[in-house]
Amino acid sequence: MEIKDTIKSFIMTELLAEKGLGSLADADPLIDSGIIDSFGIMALMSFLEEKFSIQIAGDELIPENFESVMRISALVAQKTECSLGV
Amino acid sequence: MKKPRLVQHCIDEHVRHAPGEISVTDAQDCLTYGELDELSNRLAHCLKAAGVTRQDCVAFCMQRSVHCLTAILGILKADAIYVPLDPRTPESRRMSILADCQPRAFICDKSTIKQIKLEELTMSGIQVVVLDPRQQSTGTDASGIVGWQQILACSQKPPEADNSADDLAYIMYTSGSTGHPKGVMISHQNIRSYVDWAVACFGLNPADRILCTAPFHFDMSTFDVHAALRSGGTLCIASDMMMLFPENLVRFMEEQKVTVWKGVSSLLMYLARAGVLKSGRMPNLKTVLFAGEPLPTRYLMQWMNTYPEKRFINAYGPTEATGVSLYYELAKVPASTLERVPIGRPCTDTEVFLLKEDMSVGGEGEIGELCIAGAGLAKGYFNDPVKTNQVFIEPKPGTGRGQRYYRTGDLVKMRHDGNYEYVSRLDNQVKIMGYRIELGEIEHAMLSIDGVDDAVVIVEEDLQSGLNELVACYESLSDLRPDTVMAELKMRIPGYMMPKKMHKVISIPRNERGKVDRKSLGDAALRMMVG
Repeated sequence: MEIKDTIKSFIMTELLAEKGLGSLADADPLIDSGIIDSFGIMALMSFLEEKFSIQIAGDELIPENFESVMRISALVAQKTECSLGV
Repeated sequence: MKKPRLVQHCIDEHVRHAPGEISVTDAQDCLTYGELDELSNRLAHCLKAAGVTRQDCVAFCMQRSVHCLTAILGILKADAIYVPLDPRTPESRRMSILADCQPRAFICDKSTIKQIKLEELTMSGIQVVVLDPRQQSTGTDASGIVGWQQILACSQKPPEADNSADDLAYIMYTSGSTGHPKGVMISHQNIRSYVDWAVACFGLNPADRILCTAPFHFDMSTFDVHAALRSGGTLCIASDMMMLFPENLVRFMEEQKVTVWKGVSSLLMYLARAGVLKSGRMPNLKTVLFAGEPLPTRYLMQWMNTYPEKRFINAYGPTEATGVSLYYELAKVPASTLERVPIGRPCTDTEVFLLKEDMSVGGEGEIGELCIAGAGLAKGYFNDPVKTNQVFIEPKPGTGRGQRYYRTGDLVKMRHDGNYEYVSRLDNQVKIMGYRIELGEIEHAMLSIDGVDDAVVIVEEDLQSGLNELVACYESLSDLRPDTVMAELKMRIPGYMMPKKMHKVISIPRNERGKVDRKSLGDAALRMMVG
């Protein structure tokens, strides 16, 4: 599964299920819409760190990196490339 | 100097001597003591003109901004009781609170006005006030809504105060086990006693800048709001966004030169996990209080090792006792992550004791239910004498307990060094992210959904994050799906009460008395039962 789909599936099942919404586009706003709240952000962070074996630093934990599925996958892609030394 | 009698009079001295000093700021705006005083006077006159009289309730539901303080002070100056509401709470819960407290007026702002059913409010005779300079025009229409311009047109002179110190200042709604939120009644005197202690204990003064991360509908905010105003310092209100992104919060604390922070433990934990704790950061921060739930020792150690120069205080106190009832200042970094940080000893004007199972009083080394007596004790739950009498125990002559006391429902151990140590909850009330939640309230809401035959909610530790989370299970003979139950539940309870997981099970195991044995129920065990 692509990074994007893995993240999307996590958000759909863990953060969105409770809102009863069936779809999520890559560019849909996650912060302004309230999909990611103070509970969600911690769960999402743990998930990303565990799933992709990355460490998200405080200065990366900024709204710009989490505003959509697209932006989160870009962050993860960049971090996994770094760790592979690409 | 004579101590101010009422909470709102705490600012009078600062208004006289330093009207140009900043009393409150958020990331966008700020108000000087003079401006806050003047605006809250105008709002008070405006509320009075709308029919608000002594000890009427006035609800406010606003985004986090400097005007939350205008609302609080304005309501108090109108001799009324403020009832803070969560802007994110579902309509049904908001309506149930409004039905309970029957406010005379409802204060909102440009964004929260969109969430409320205006007609229902005005039909019930509730005066809607939009306290927001960004919405100047509201109020001139036929709807009868009072807007910014009308508030500004009211007198700026301090209104005559009719309150006595024993009158209520606020009612804060917490989770109730029967499905209905309970309104805790706190008086002027309760707040004054708490805040006087806080100001003296932490040496708060006009140079202090106090961070506010607590929601205003949460009793943690009592410290922020009232200690800041009492000390003549500045309240620095952090936005919701900052709470999501620790780097933004830390930057705000640095820009605002925050000196004191009383934060919920989960937020301190989040900051530690997010890796923003770095030596040299937040240089002005001197005092850090953490409360709301136990802070895992390893995170406290991380904070203390990074910032050996700062004071760290574990604070404990139920909403029913106003603010902090016991506290423990860390003298040194805990030696190991296994060490339990005590909740310490009672504050000034507070007495505590342990009630053992046989109703005798516990001593050193013993565990019992923590009971609190003293100046912080609430008057009880609004409109609910039955629940009030269950936990607020009136003194019985000849029993040796001559004071009214509150049964916290917390199991606590009295250590040999005289400090108390938190053990666990007695009942099904849990804390998630600092929010007090009665599992029964969620179950009650689930049971109100068509097709749900039985329901149980338990707390499980998420193995990845180490955080506690709510797991819900339900029985249904129909083909009702978990996501449908989630969607229905979302409309009934606030987000912080929403279970993280929802399972459909064949049957919920109960003991012979029909009670679910939550302790023996694990998420894994429940999953196996999924039909």
